[in-house]
Amino acid sequence: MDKKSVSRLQACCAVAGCVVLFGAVAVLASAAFSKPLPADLTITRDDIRPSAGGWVVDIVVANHGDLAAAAVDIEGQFGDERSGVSLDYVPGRGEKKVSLVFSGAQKPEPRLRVLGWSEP
Amino acid sequence: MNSLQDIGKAEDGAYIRDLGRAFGGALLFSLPLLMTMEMWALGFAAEPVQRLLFLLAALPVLFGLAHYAGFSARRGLVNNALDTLVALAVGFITATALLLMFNVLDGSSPASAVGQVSLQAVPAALGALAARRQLSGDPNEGEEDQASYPGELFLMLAGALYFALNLAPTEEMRLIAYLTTPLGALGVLAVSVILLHLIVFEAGFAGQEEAETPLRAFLDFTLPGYALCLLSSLAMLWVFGGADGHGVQSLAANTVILAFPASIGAAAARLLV
Repeated sequence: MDKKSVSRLQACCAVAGCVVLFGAVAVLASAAFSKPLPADLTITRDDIRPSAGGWVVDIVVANHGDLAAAAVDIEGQFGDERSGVSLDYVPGRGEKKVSLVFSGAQKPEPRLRVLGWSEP
Repeated sequence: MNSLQDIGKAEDGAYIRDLGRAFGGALLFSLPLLMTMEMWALGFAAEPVQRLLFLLAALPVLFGLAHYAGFSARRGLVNNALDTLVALAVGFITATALLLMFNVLDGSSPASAVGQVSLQAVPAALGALAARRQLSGDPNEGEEDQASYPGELFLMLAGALYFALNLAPTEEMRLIAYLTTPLGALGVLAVSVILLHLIVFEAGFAGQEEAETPLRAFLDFTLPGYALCLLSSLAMLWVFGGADGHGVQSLAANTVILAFPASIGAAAARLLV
């Protein structure tokens, strides 16, 4: 076995590794030992713009809880027309942007709601 | 003084080359996982305690790999510990850089971002520590030929973890377990054990163990090695959320299916590390 003494560069790199490791453990432990809030989703309308197929409604789905929400179904309704979209995940304390399409000539003011989600 | 400075510069130069190999090894081993969609999602979808335990449980495995392989020629308790920390730094840097480059790093909360990076950093660190064996061009690098019996089993565990890590997070593993019949799962189990024994002791791979009799080798290495494959597969299923909500039979099927690539990895451990 080659037992060379520790070089300065090796020691510096090891200190960097130590900082990274303890930092990661601290963040993960803090999340692991706190009581997480369940997923809590809200929708806000971002923009309504014309497109070749009608109108596109851009919306932001925000999760105010700590836990991720999976298989999130969103629905928008304007008059008799419904439009829907699904999201694989919305991370805890995160947000995702999606778009709904309406085919009518009139600019829509849709009623938006989250239909449901599941645990990841 | 000049000669001391020259020695210091030469040592630093050699260590920089070792670091380059470490980054190469980290990239080589972790790229499949860094480009796997399920791993990105697990960073924030997995429970924080699962992500934390995965990182902590990886430390002794990385330390053992630093002893037997490592990305530099330095050895000893202190050097092995330093190599482990440096490998983790290499792993974190590689994972962060690539996740940022692919624009898949989730910054919605510190726990999400750190969870994503730490899940990817562990296989990258494994690759960094196997770098000397894989990238130095010298097939005689490494201490694995002098391993004791527990060391042999540890090397099989390291090989099993490497292979299974690449497959454990994927949905396809769950799907195979659902589609496989109980008889099929038993068949996979038998094939895993037979292949593990054949590859290590009969196929003439470089570094294969010299056993007194095939039966003795089967009892001393193949069976304990496969047990380690099953345990490590179960652990990885738990970390990656594949064990959630399963009954005993379904969990057993999932474990046996994942243990199949793990057993190939265990058998080929000498080639990997």
